[in-house]
Amino acid sequence: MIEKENKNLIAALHPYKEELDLDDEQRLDWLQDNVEGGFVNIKHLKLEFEEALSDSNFDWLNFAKSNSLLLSPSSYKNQEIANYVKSVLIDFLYPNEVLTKGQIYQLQTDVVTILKKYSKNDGWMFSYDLYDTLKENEQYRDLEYFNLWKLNFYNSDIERKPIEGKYQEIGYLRYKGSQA
Amino acid sequence: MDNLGETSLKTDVKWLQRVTDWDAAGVRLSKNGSNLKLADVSGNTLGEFKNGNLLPEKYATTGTPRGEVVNGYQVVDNNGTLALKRVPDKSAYNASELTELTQHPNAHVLERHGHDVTDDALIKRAQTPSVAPDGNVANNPPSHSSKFNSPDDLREGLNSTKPGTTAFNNGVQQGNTRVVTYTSTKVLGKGVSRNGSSFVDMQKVKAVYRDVGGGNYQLITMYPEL
Repeated sequence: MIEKENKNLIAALHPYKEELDLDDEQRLDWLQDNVEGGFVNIKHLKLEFEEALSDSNFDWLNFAKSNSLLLSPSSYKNQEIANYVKSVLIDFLYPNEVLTKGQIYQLQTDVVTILKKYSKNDGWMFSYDLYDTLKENEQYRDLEYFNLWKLNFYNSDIERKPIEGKYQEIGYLRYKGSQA
Repeated sequence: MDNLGETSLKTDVKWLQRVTDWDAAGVRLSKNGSNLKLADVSGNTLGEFKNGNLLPEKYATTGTPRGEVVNGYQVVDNNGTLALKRVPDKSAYNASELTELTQHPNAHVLERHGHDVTDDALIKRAQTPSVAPDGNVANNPPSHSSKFNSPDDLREGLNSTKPGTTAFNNGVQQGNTRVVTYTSTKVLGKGVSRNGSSFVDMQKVKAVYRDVGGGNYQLITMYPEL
């Protein structure tokens, strides 16, 4: 694989370095400032982003390490790092494709339905297993994994158990009513 | 006010005034084990006095104040809905310092890392999902949920990272944003790690500044770190 500079991708992800204690609004504000200030070219960012995602040999682990994106990059699989990058950039780059509130509500409802039926592992379902189950439904055939981050884990029927050292992955989810 | 007459509160004038104000606002107090719980008339928990300090359950960022500020929080009323708003202690800072700490609209230094943030609020922020002292919710906590130990410690962080300082000049510029790191010779703050409950001392400070135009850098955030 030819090493690309990915200058715009690196600059766009700078606010999303896991070591920084910033909230979503502060991160997005930084990214928007980068764009408005000319430090990130949206057109080139999209090209770099799409090329990296479509390149099955793109070394996301090396990318994450070189740019200090994650605290423990070696804990993640290549695809998991790609999913993290998607989770912070896709909605920004393609706002017309963002799930609506209604779609998120439906997703939450359908996830709760799946989790209610899940009895293995004290009810804790691995996020990728949940994703695979969702995609068996025609409605979610094209659902991207990163949209699971839009589920409400606070004051809702779903509780989340992250994997130690791997907080940028969802980890495990459980229906709150299924306490062992 | 369930059973409060059986406690020492019945002769504490300050507390009696506080309770009077809260009662008028619709706050209901009750004992919850060894804690004192605040709820609205519908029974929704607003917060609890835990380990002697108020820890909110229901947060707001705006609203009409009801009663005094207690442990950095104030009951507020939003069209009949009660919640607790974070009101950080600013009394130790002069006008110039407050300007530096609050001028950027996205700055939340005092709200999240101020000296009056309680230990329980830091531990709450370190959980998953993470709820910051001002009520901001995030899926993940920061690597350490931290605060400055005193106004003087925060002041040292501010004065040692601001534009013109060595740390600022050595900072990492990314676009219009500059990330600055400073290490003190003494402990300036403390923090708790993700999903932890024990604290570690911190001598380092990280600050993020934004050039809003013409070299005018404003503080976005500043916090102690390991």
